[in-house]
Amino acid sequence: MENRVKTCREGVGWSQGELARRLGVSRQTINAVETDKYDPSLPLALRMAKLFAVPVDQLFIDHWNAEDSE
Amino acid sequence: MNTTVEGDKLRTMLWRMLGGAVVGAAGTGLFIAFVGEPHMDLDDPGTLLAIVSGLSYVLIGLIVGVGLASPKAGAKFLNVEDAEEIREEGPKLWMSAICCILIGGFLLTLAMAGGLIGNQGALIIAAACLVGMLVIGAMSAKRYDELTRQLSLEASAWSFYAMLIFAGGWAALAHLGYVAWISPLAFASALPLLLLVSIFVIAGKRGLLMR
Repeated sequence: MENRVKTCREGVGWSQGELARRLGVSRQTINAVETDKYDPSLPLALRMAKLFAVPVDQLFIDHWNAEDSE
Repeated sequence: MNTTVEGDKLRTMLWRMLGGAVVGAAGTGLFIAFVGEPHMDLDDPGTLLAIVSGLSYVLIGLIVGVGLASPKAGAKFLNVEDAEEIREEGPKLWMSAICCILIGGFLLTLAMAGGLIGNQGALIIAAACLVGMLVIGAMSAKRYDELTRQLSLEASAWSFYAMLIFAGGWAALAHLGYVAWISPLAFASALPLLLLVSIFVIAGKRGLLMR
């Protein structure tokens, strides 16, 4: 899933380590999320959105379209 | 990400894998040369599997331990961004390293049982390794973050299904009299080896072997 975690993190001037520390996860997890190698759990996604003060759907972009699935 | 950066990462990963293979081969060679026959039955495939599996774990544990003892050097051969990350992950990595050494110790003790170590001594050492592994493994699992937990779950599932197919298939053939059943030592050694392979496959599939 496409995400804007790196953009938001760099926007507030934090390193991956700093963000990891604030979220209570490893730096590897942040790196994996930013490089689209891992989709975070819902609680972690919500915490990230809260931390950057943006809605979740602006942080994680899902291109799925309800009309297309019908 | 540009091609040069990707290429550098791929090169680093390949060098690390090559380094691991060389250390593994050298370790196995030295172990067989110094501890091998007549202390172990090297004609038994189960013993050989226990040596390969056990040494893989011991060497991984030692390599991680060396990286932890010297984070600056460790950053060059462990899958981390820099020395600081090793320090951040220190407690978790120490537990993983000890766990790996205990798993390896368990298998190598079984491989040496009846030769270099008496069966009773082997039982005591193997049981101590197993208990230590369970205690430290449980402590380590509490420190897992969600990515590690996810990888661990996926690797466990993969190794379970692989075991179901290989051991189940082999058992079926053995039951029907087409093959001989594998030794208990081969079975005990194959389980952690499959888990190890599964972890690398899962991490590789996600592209996590390249940082």
